[in-house]
Amino acid sequence: MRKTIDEKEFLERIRINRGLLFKICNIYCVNREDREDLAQEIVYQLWRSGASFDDSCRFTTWMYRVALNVAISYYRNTKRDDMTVSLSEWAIDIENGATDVDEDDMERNRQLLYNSINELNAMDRMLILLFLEEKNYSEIAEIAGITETNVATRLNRIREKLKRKIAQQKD
Amino acid sequence: MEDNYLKRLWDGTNSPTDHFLELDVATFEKMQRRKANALLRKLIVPKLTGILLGIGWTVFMVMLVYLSLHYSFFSVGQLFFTVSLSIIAIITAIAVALYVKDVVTIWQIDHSASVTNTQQKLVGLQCSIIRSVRIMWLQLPFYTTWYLNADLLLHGSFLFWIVQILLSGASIWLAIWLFHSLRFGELQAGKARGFLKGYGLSSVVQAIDFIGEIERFKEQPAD
Repeated sequence: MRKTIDEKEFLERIRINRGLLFKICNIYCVNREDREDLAQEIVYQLWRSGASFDDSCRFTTWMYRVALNVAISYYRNTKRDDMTVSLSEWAIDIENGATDVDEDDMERNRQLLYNSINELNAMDRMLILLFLEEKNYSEIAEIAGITETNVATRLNRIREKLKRKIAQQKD
Repeated sequence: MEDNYLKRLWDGTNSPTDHFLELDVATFEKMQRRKANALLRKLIVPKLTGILLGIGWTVFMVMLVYLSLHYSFFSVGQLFFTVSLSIIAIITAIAVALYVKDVVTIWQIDHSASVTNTQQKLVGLQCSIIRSVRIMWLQLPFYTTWYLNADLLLHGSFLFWIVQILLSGASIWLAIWLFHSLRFGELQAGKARGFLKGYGLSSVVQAIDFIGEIERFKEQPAD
């Protein structure tokens, strides 16, 4: 990393946005060891790529690009067949404040959501992650390197597929 | 089921396991040394070894051609010798140039570029061995012609001609077949995949499949 970038501020920005790293690790790795390895790898690459960051683009957009590139490469190199796991394998905390019944239902559906995402290929996982993280089509297109129309069409299909799968599994 | 419900499910996801993220400069510097060594061992050293061997072989061929042209009179034998060795030297030099380009690309990979762009470069690097293998095999037929001379051509025995024709014919066929079959398009379609897997290059076959996946991803899907 170039010394001209304030290292402390840079690390603080990563620290503030570390939540997105966990979500990326969660959808590309199923077991804890892999998630930890991937998280370290992503943070290292963020630090190493720090010189390429300039304030003309949003820090989170830049961070998503680096993190997703590292995660997809990691996923390609460690891909395994047994990818459906129980909720306990995921690093998930249930939201506080919900009633017990709601909580059970949410927990079950959250597992269904993760398992359904897990059946998508590496590139579709990226799209749905960015969509669920409230990124707009323009930002998603910029991160993924495809057109906005392509993003819109693909996301429509992925969302329908996920909803259908969750509904089927619930039945 | 609404999109908002999916987002609510998603927002409930939060990992408590952030203790493994050590965000300090000292850790990164230690990691950088470790990663640089790993990269050197895994990618750079094999490529640099290939480059050095390639340069050595090219220089050796060029020297032989130079000595042949400088110290002997023109003959049919000299023609076969210099043309065969020159072509071998040129093909090796092209393969070396491709290896040098790969080493430069390895250092220049930008993880902050768009995902499709970076992934294509990374996977391309993984597949670059195919490109070099494909080109290197083209020189095979010339290893069966460099020793030919007027005496062999005019007075060679029947057995010599049978062996020579079989050897040259087989090497030409193999070189052309591999050059044709090791194209990405052919490999994606399934031909010659067995050949690569047999040589322990299954990861390259997977990388080729991923290139196809990215290409399809970049295309606008039909409605």
